[in-house]
Amino acid sequence: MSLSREQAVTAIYEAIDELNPQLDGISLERSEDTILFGEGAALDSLNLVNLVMMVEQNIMMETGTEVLLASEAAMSRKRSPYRSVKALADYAAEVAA
Amino acid sequence: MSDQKPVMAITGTRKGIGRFLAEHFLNQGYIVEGCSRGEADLEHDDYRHHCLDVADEKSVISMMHAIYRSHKRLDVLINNAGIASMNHIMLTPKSQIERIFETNVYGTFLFAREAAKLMGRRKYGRIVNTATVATPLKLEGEAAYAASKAAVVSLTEIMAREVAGLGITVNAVGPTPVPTDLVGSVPQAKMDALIARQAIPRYGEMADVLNVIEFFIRKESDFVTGQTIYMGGV
Repeated sequence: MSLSREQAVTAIYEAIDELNPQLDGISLERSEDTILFGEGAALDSLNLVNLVMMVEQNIMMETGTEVLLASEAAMSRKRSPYRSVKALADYAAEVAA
Repeated sequence: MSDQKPVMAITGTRKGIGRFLAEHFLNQGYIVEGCSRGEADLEHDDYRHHCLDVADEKSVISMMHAIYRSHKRLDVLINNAGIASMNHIMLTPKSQIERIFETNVYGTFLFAREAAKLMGRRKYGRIVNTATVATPLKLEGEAAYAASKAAVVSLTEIMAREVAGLGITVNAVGPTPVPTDLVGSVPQAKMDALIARQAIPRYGEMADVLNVIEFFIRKESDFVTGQTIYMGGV
């Protein structure tokens, strides 16, 4: 079982599609540049947590790979892996390797 | 909820209250995913058993993934699995309090955390944890057990706030002694003294526990969260 970066991006986009109808008055773009967390982010903390959990489950469903995206290692990084779609995809591919 | 059958996870379904709850909710039309350390002989088309230790993080995650793969949803979690042990604190080995905390606290925490991840996707969920009257009654000989369940009450209250925005409620039921294996080793005189301290001095029945759980998991109970209901008027 392994995870390519493209698969990680697909899993994130699918989570965005699922989350968008639940968001009040905002819509996340399916783009690697979309900011998820920190300055300029559209998501509040609970929706960010929900998105990250959806991505974990999507990756597991599509590739059979169990990745832990919410870990102490992730939280303590200087550059947050939750900052953007790109950062999250990079991190997912990295921890699945 | 959609037309699809609702899905419930119950821990500790091999025997006792867990088994009773599993059978009851299967009869009510739920799909029940149960677990215990050993195999269970409960057979039903809508029942699946997972052999695991509730304190083993990997096993809990795998069970939740299996639920998601099969049903794409989880409506209710009943954190029923628990262990008790009666011992004077000066005679309690560290290994005993560790074992109690592993099952009662870590197990409850892991299942609640993983369940919330599934429930959050559909913005709906009901989590019911198990407390005990031993905590408010400050029962001598039950320090480790009562402390572990005090931790469960705290987890319940704080998690309720943290997941409210996801449409998930988290509550706890605090049973009085119910005649199961869990209280089997406690001397009769102790049990009688304990029951005398309840407002309604009788043993609890499994149906009493079920009644509180059914209240918590009703769709209409979406404004009830972070609560612990103790039975018998404790």
